[in-house]
Amino acid sequence: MSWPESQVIGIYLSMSIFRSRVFRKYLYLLSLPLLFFIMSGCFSHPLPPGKIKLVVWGMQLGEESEGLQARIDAFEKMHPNIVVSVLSMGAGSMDPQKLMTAIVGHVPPDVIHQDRFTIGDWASRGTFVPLDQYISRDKNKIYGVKKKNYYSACWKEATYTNPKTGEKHVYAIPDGTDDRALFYNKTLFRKAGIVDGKGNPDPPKSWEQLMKDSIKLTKFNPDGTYDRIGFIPNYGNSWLYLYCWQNNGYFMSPNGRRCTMNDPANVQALQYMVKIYDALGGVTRVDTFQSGFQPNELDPFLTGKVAMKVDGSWVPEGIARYKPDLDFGVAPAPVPYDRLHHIGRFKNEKETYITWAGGFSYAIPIGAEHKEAAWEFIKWMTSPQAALLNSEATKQYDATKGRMYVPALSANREVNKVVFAAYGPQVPRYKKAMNLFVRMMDHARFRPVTFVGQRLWDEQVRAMDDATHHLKSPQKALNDATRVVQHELNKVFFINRYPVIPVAVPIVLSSIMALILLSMVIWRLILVARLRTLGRSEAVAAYFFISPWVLGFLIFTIGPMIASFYFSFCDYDVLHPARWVGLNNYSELFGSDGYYLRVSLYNAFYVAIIGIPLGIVTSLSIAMLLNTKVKGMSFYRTAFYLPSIVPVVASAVLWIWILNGDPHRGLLNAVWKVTLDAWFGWAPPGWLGAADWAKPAVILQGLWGAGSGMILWLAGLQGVPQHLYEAADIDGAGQWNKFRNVTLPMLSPYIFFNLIMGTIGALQQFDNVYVLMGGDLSQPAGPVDSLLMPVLYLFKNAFQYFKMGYASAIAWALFVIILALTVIQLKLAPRWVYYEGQQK
Amino acid sequence: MNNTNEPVIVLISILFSIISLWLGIPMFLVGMRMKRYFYSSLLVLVAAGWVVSLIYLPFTLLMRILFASSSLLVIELLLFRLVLKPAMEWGDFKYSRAAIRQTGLHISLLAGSIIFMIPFAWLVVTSLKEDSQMSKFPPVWIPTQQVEWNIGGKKLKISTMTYNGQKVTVAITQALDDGMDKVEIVRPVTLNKISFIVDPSQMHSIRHFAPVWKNYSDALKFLPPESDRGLVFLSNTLEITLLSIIGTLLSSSMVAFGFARLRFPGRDVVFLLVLATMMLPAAVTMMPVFLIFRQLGWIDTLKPLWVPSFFGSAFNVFLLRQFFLGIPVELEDAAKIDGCSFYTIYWRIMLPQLKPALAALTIMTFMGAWNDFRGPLIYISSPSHEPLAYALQLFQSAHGGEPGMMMAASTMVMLPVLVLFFFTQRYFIQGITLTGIKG
Repeated sequence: MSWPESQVIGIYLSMSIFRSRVFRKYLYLLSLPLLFFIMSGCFSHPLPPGKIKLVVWGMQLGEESEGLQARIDAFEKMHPNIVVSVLSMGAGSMDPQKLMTAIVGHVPPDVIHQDRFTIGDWASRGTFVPLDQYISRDKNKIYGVKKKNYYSACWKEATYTNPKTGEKHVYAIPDGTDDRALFYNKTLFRKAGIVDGKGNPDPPKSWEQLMKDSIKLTKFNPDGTYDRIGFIPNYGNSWLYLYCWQNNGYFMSPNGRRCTMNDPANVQALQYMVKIYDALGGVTRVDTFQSGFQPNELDPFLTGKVAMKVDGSWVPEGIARYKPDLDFGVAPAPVPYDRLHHIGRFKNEKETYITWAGGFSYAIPIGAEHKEAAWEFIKWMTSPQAALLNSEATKQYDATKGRMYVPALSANREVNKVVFAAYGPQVPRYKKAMNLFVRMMDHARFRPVTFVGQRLWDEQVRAMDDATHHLKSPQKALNDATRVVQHELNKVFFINRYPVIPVAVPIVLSSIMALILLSMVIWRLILVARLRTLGRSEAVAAYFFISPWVLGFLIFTIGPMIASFYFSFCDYDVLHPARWVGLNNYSELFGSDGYYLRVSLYNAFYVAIIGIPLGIVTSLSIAMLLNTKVKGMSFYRTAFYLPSIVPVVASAVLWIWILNGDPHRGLLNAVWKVTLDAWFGWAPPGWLGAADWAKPAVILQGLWGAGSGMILWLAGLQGVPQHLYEAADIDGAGQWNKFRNVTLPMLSPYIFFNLIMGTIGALQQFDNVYVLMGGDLSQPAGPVDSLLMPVLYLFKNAFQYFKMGYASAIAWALFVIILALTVIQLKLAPRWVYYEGQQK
Repeated sequence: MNNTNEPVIVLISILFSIISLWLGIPMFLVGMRMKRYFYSSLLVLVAAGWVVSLIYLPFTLLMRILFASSSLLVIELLLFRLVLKPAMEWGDFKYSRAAIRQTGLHISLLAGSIIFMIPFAWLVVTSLKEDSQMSKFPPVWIPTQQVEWNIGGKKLKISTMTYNGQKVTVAITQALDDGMDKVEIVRPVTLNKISFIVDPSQMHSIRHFAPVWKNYSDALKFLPPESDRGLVFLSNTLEITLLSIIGTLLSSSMVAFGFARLRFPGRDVVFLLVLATMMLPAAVTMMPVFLIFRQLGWIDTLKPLWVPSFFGSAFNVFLLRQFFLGIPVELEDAAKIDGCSFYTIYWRIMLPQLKPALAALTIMTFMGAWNDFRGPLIYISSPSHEPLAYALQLFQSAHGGEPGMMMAASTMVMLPVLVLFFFTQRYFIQGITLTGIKG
């Protein structure tokens, strides 16, 4: 069922409304949307008969995608019955929430281009089709996929072994890949005198040397801020993973049942990161410096703000585009001293330098409509022939822009061989860099393939944050992270203990509830029957009139409430049957995950306690100003009200820029710099980028929308009877006394209403925070979780992990808290709220 | 002294100082107007004392600000109480008092509305600026572009610089790879055609006022191709908006009529239930409602976004009920005597009386549906079903680093709402104002 039907219904309904006298005058309000709505029929493109549409997610057509277009054109020529529809959903990084929703909702794409490290996670949930059959069937056919052609790190990353059953399948075909190495600015090295015997820049090879060089290359401004930093441990792309692997630390036990994140080698690696940050002057200062970093031609490595970084094989392409003549070098990422010299723990270690490979891959979601066509598409896209087409088209496009073409790495050795032979860069430093990256692929590590992959990632970020900010010791941070992941692992391994229960229970329960309500209504109707005739027909009509709300109440409120209460005792991910786990969700919420609940509630209360009174004061003072007789009132009223009707996304987008920490870009900090900074020497804060200032930033953005409250105040102020003021005048009351003794008491019901609704709203904030933190649920919400809100946490669990049971438990905890607060406020109300015409 | 660790105290002290200044200026004007120069000069003295204490008091900066601004506030109020107010009752200052009040109000209102409008102005200005103007300090408020002259059939950018101690105007003929520019002198004519290479930082570019409309076309260009330059988003939004408006108007007015004008057993209890649902956190019902729509096969369609509006929402019912209560009973009684059924009364008598409220509700629903973000976030997964507000969020994830384009896109999403508000604000504000919240 698609929209043409609803369109007809809509037009019919709107026409019948138009016929009524009420709307004739306001016709213009509706006519414009209606016109567009009817016109919108022109935008849909029907599919020619006999063709199938292959829907691909995770890649983007459009500007600068000539290579992709060329490959798709060739594919469509080979398969005339297939039309490829590339939807740019989450190109680069697929939003897991969207993909899961699509699979759960039975509308998945046919092919998904997906970050490889998440494959294990997805496969474990049974969301992807195993590809082994297809691979072995077409092994010797044209474009067949052969395991031996792939780097082992890439292939293994796309293979998932079910730790419970031992079943091993390939769930995705690796496509592009990337690995990491040390980039260094040769000019800065020469200036700082870090050169070898021949006077050539000498990049560090060991951790110890890296730290020394970093300090040597760091330069300060007279005011104590950084002018340049030698090396920032987590700038670029290394995270905790690379340091741990270099130190021979691992994150998971080989059988995938135990998380080993707090392995001594990992603790040592994290200690090393902390040590560099401390040597540079502390992570907060580095963060402030980093918040001014910009992309593209102003990239800090290109402008010499950062002398070294560990970053991915995609970087040379960016350098070629934005600063082709930069004198840079690439060396393997420095390793611990002992590893470099093969002594101590590393005595028998074969590989001196290692790298970390990540990248993308193609997979077929379960329930995909055209699996065969999808497989054909994947085979073609991963073939050397397609790669050559891609390179040719991209090279030609880059030539028209006057840029050098630097091919990206592929997970397929054969592809790299032919592509770099034909299209590899000729400029020596680029050629050397890319050769190193290709060579290092054989020494690549990859993130463990496990269903807790995302959790592992989140926790390593959090542990790194906590340790570098000295909130926890490295050991404690990693212990905590390990516990969280292990808990997640245990839950999956022990899930069979819990009984499967029917999902239909809440439906039955809510039907019973509906029946009870219905019988109450029938009982009422019996009462009605006793009424006189006129009253009876009136009651029947009334039930008809309120029936939409009653239906909505049953379907969208009472039913779901029963259901979510029921689910809060279950483990339910929609794709698998629900299991009754008793109070586990709650004990987890208050016990092992208590941190998230505490932090999110703290954040919400912080915003509520500071934000609501500030909002009330602001909007009340505006309303009082507007409640005077001044010319041009409609202008002022509009000016104050306008911000509150701005779409929340647009408002957040705007404030992200206004609150930018860099005074050159953020408007607020520009003002701050010439006032508070210049007068008192207070450095401009980092706002959304700083843990302490993120919440004030959200409050500030909220204050901008105070106009919506102002209208209610205005209504209240206009409802205050004039005679009260006149009486006060006669008593000789001053302005303040009138405000204190007349206005405030008369407004107290409004203050009360605002307090209650404001508390409920503040505890449920979601939209603006979601956009402000960049709309990426897989990242922590703001620095050190400073913007994690209860509903955000709930949303993440409900629609990213699809842990419906756990999310329901959060919802009910939140509900109880809100209910308690509302009841307390209601109880306190008689003490200070004054209702007109009511005896105190 | 770098004491910025207590954001709350910093914000409070800033607020305090703004309020004290805000009060002080009109008070000074009042004194001048009433020829109470003693009072005005005292105020100036106090303000001077404030500045001095800000700089010299031996506390931490934060405390200094807090102390200075709060004491300023107290002194201002005392001065007003003790000096100006007695003076005001001495003579016939009625006219001047009103005028001063007006001036003071205008200043406050103007200052306030400027603060509220600045982000808008910033949005529009940024959407019209060149990339090179984005990260300038102090911020650039007027979008400009470098002047281009037509020289030898080519459009060249014009700058001024000093050449051998003489001020000359040059045209940039070529931007070299190493960041230097190749330039050619165009004025004075005596040095014409002399060409040399120069560092851009030595030149001073001649700029003229010119908005960069390219940001807008770029924003459309970088939209996903399957969105037909955003038209698909627009049509989705319009579909949701229109159907939501129809649903809301129909259902809310029906339910409100039932509660306001008809007597039936259990009415008050049920209405209390309606009000109670207003306080129910949406989070509790979010997941099961998702599962209901999933069961219906409505994921990735627009239906979950507008169907619920056909079941009435507590706030709208409440708002319309207040209106219905205000309509005189005589009208209804007359209709009843004429033999109208309740359905006729609702459709022919009551709805026409409800015009202003329905207009307000239409606008509110329009804005709610146009701006809705959470609904699409949960239910929509393919671009062909995205409405504008959600598409903007995805655009922000993809192009967040390009302010010009982002601001242009935001402006385009925001514009219809703003335009609608401008033309209908009377109904809108009246609608809410008339209702109040007393119940």
